Amino acid sequence: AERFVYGSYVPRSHTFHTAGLEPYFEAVRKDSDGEMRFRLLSDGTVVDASNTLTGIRNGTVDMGLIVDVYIPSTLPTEATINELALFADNTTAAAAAMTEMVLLHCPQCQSEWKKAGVTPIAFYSTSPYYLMCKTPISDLASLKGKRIKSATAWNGLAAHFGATPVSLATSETYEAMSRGQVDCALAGAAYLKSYGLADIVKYIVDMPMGSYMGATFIDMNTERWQALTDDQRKLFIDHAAEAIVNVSNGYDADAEESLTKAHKDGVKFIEPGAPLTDSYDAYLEKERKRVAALAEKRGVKDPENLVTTYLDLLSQWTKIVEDADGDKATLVEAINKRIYAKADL
Amino acid sequence: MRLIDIARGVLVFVSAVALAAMALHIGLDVASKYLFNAPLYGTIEIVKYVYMVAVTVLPLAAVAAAREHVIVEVFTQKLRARARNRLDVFAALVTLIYLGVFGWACLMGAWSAFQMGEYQDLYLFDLPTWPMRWVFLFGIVGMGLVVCVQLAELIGQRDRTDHGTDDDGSD
Amino acid sequence: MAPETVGMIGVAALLVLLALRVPIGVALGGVAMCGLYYLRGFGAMLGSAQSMSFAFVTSWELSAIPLFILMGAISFNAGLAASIYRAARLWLSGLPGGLAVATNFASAGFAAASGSSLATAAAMGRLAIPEMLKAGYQPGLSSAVVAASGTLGSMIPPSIMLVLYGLFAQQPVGQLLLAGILPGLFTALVYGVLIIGRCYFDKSLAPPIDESVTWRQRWSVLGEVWPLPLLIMAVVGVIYAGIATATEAAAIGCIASVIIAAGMQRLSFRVLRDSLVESVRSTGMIFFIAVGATLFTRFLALSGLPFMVADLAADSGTSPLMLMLTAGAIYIVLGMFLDPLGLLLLTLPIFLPLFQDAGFDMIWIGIMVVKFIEIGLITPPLGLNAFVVKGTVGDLVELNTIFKGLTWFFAAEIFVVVVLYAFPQIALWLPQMSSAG
Ligand code: NA
Ligand code: NA
Repeated sequence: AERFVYGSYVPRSHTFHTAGLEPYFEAVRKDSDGEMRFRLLSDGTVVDASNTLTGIRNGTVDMGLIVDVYIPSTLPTEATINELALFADNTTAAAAAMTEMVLLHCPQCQSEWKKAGVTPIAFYSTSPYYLMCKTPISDLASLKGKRIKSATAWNGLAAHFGATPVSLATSETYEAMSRGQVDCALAGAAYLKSYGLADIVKYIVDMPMGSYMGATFIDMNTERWQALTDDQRKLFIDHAAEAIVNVSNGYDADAEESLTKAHKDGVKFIEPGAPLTDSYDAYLEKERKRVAALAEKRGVKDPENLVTTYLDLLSQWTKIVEDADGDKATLVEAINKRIYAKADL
Repeated sequence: MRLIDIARGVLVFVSAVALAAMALHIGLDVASKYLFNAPLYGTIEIVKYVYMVAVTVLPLAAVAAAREHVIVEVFTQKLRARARNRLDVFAALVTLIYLGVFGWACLMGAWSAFQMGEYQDLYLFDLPTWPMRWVFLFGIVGMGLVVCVQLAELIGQRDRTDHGTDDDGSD
Repeated sequence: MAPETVGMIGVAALLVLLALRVPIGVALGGVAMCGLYYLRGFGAMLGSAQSMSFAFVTSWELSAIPLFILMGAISFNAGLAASIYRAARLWLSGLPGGLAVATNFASAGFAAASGSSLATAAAMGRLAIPEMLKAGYQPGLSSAVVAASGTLGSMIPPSIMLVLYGLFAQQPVGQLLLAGILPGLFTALVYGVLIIGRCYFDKSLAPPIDESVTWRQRWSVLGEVWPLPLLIMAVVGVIYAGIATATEAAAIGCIASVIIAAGMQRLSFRVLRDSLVESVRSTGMIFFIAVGATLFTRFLALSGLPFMVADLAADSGTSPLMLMLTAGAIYIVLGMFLDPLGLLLLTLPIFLPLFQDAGFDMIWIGIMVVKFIEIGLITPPLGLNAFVVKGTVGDLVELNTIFKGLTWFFAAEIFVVVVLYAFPQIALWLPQMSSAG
């Protein structure tokens, strides 16, 4: 029997494990008649956010959760695509678009992965981010001078709102917020549940503001991957599409549950109002340029084309997801047909 | 030998300065946050990637020189000086092998981080992190040099005890 | 060979290397590297050694450790410990065994400036033992009270041990530090009662001192201890009030201790330099072990041994009480041979999953584990606090005498552990109040 060790830095109970990864492992194990087995080492017991990719490359683990924005010097192109986060409002569409982008339309991404010694197979996206606060907010003006926990694309947005972006690990958000280190967090609604923010958050601006979409969750050490038989590789690929949809649905369900509970708990949902939505739209106008400039700075070739390609894919996938109307089989088929049938893995 | 002493002194000096700077930097950040509602940007990352590496790894040579690396002595307290000397030679050898492999690993890591220009993106600026990988390596190498000297001394002592000219390692 | 077997061989090899005088950090890291090489190959060994150790030291939470050490060093070098002892003496010397009682509470006071048990015992040992011996106190009592009350250094915040626990157990460090306050004070109280009781019934232990202290003196000595409440406010107060995280509180504490030293007119370049150099050396020593321990933790996780042990425990239907008793016994036995940090870092990878599965409150567990490890500091044959005391008294007191004197404090510690187990609220009340407020 073959044993694959998976390293993840997030808690065992995280949706991505329970809804996506563990069912995926189970499906592969079953289809291989128990010949392929997995061990999930979560909570950063073996690798953490900054060194998962190196850990896979040097063989400490075989697979792992890689988040590109922590390692922009290793995956500059992909990390830059991820800066387009504010445009992504649909969880499944963002995940599929990112997977398609990296596997099929971004040779530069592929060569970065190749250099890193890891083969990416599937990406997931978080549910949409919301502005969630402990201290009272009411409109755009009230955000001035607030300290907001944010990352990547949201740093600029927070600054645009007149607030101060503060970088914190997601796991530190609870303590920082309860101690007044930060007033607000720009984060997925699911974090209300998974990181305990529900205890502290009292105000939520009722407007999704993009989602984080660059988490590579199915991948493998390239040498290990190439040493597998065709049949084995096929098993990993065949179940990937379903895993993508499962994680997305898990995230969405968590977000919905969290928001419903917040409503019930008396959290104030702030109508954004015209000044805030206008300010957001004005920022989005400039966002393409900012990302293209960042790409240039990071040495990404043809940045304009990169941005356009990704945003195109995103809108195509948004349409596909809307047409599927929540039918899982349709989505799995679409992902298989559009991505995995063509990908050279 | 003199050179190693000087190097050790430099490493400890840099480390002590980094510790003082870390306390001041965090203090300023807190003050600025509460007095002017303006935290210093990037404090957390600078503490992590600059001060902490210097404070934790650079003093290792001095720790070794002062024989402050903790060992378990209960089982060997009753041994004769000569037997204990043999064990200490063994322990120093194991330590050197460990530091050699560790240092080699750090050299590889520092080299590849340097080649790709490893950095952290702090929004307002990029903080290069590759130089600190080299600093880490210096700390390990410094300790390795001190242990080399100590090993030479231990072997010298053993030779003396073996020839029976000196009862036990007189110091 | 099954990976779990490799894990067990690793644990055995570690113990052998430790017995052969190999430094703890080298033994941990060396065995881990060999294990990683066997389980995952050469690249994994080199890669983990490099990337995991770098990731470990570049940590925001852990930066509290050097800062807490620095704060204690400045406080000591500026004579804060001496002032606290003088004040405790003037106020408490009238009680039976008054000097010992004063030493005990002075230790509790200095613990609020020092992050480590060893540093607290060393500071008090130099000040208090000569005085007690001069007053005709029994040597066993005089030295044991310092060794025992020194352990308060790891319980009353700041505490290096609790910071490390917080990191490995992924628990909020600020809350852990708050949780240590009441158990620390409770221990000091139990020690106090123990000393008074023993000296009341056995007058030969501590002859009454012929010292007429006026109330005027008592009040005026308080003028010397003003730094202490300031430091407590700087560290504990800002955490409790939610103003700062543990690391920020540590930095504030350092700055406060420099201001205090200046205010006492004892700040010199020498004090600063010595404090900084001592502190980085202690930091290097701690992190060298801790880096080895993280590598060892990784190796054990990859071997699957901790999961096997956890499964075994779950299958055998071990009750929480049984688990706690077993853990306590293991800590006390291992405490006979291992130093406190090594012990903490060695055992957490195995015990944490078990404690989690048993549904314990992990902040309370932090306090229990630190308590167990403190007990190891005062039990033979390796009782580091007894050694520290021995180091400060030289030939005046035999090591055996010190351990004999510690028997009583050991009994008191067992009582404290039982009470802490029966009433977890003693540890949990303050952190709960704090986050509510
Ligand atoms: Na303390
Ligand atoms: Na002991």
